[in-house]
Amino acid sequence: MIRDIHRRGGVIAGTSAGASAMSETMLVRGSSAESHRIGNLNMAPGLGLIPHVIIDQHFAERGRIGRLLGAVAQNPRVLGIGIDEDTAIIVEEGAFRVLGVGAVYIVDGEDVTHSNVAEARREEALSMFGVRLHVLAAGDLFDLQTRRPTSAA
Amino acid sequence: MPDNRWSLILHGGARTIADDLKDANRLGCLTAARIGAELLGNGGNALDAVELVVCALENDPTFNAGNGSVPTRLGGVEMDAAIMDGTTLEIGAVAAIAHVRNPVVVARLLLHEPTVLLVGEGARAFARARGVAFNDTSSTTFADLQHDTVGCVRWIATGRSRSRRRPGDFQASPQVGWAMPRSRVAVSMLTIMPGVSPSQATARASCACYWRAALWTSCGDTRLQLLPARHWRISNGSGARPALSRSIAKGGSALLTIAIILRSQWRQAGCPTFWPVFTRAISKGLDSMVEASGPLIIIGGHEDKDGDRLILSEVAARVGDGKLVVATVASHQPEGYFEAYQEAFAALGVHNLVELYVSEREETRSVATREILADAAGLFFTGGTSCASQVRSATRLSRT
Repeated sequence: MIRDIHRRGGVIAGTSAGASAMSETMLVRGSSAESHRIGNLNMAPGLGLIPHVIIDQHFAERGRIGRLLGAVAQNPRVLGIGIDEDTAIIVEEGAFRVLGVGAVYIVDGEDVTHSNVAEARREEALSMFGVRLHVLAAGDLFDLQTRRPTSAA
Repeated sequence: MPDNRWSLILHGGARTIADDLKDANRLGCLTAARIGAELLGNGGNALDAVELVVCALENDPTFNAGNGSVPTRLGGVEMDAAIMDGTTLEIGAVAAIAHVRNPVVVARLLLHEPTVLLVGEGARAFARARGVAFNDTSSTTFADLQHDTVGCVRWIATGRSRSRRRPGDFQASPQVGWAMPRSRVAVSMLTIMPGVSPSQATARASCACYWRAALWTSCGDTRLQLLPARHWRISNGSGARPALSRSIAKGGSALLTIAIILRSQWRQAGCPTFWPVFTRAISKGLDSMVEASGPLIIIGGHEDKDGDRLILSEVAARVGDGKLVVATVASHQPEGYFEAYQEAFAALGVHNLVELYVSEREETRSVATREILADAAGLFFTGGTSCASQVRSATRLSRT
């Protein structure tokens, strides 16, 4: 039923937990108080409305950069998208535009050269080299296929 | 209403094929595709089709799988295979297994077992106990040494309107790991690593991505070590889909051995030539994977509801005079959420607002829910008070 609405051109919006649930995989737990620990992350299947990304919300406000990096470390081909409060991305035709007062952080692990996620113990801190980070503000565009941002100006 | 349209995607390894091997690669892919298409056309299920197709590819010495497997530096053959049911997220996998005729058959047998992954001797013993066919003599024909391995995805098109692009719905896929619970990896790793202490095994199993686990356990295999990690991740770690999209982004020359068949095209054209079917199908397939019809507005929480309402205005503009359904599934206590949005949207000129509160999955499928969603112009998921609420909303609505 949800897919039907989407398919016939209807808008699907979601905020907070409702935002995270739109991706194929969502973060359901993970610390934000300190650097990411390898074992400190849980993921679950989402609605799958937007493929190949993982979305986290209340991003700067709750200090979630660590857990998003952890999620990307575990699956480098998935793009991590962290969205601040009172901020949104509008996804259309394989690209999105940023709207609102905060920022959107994009973690791209495609060129990661090293990560300890496979070998380290659960309580160890995450180690990951060569991760690409974009910070987008209102009006900025991001192409989900080429994984490249375009400035608003 | 079940939609019985489907697509079958398979590949014989993403790589540039030498001129003298092109015919064999094409023929092998088409033969395997025909076998799968026939089974699906007769109402066969996705897993059977995927297994059968991969068996056909494994039996063809052209491909680096099964019969045609490229030997390790030590001269032996060690094969890997995985199969996943996208509807249940169950997976079964074997790695570094020797002598069996079709590793994918063994992987399939593991699908409903508590163990997800077996390697080496353990995998072979399991296969023998289950009566899987073995090759008595070692294979003498190998695929081209650089040949990537094979893959198959059976994929159901969920769209009804032909004019719209269709979101793909993966039903069975070699793409494992991402959604697999870590505990299951740990369990299976403990199962398969004799001689390793439980604490060591748990530590090693602490990666959520199964294929990296497979890589790790096979690290004694020089064949894997010869490959750069990144290549390995793309070709084996993630299955057909990213390999397809990335290869296409690079110009597509590596995709010669990939065949995609959409049943309607297959039927209409009788036995069409490979390229037109392939190019049309792949562009359709990729479109439906990366694009969907309507806009998604994904909000980081705490959007302004009584000031400039910048974000809610964007939602309102797209809903217009239509009906906006506000789903409060994610909330522990939905009271008040709906009223707050009702007020905010009313100020923006959206008056046709309906609440959808779902407490159990069954309710999602009820007639009333269907009616609410049937003529909706938009759907708005509210937030919740805990992370668990995300899971609830997704599991309740994912199949609807």
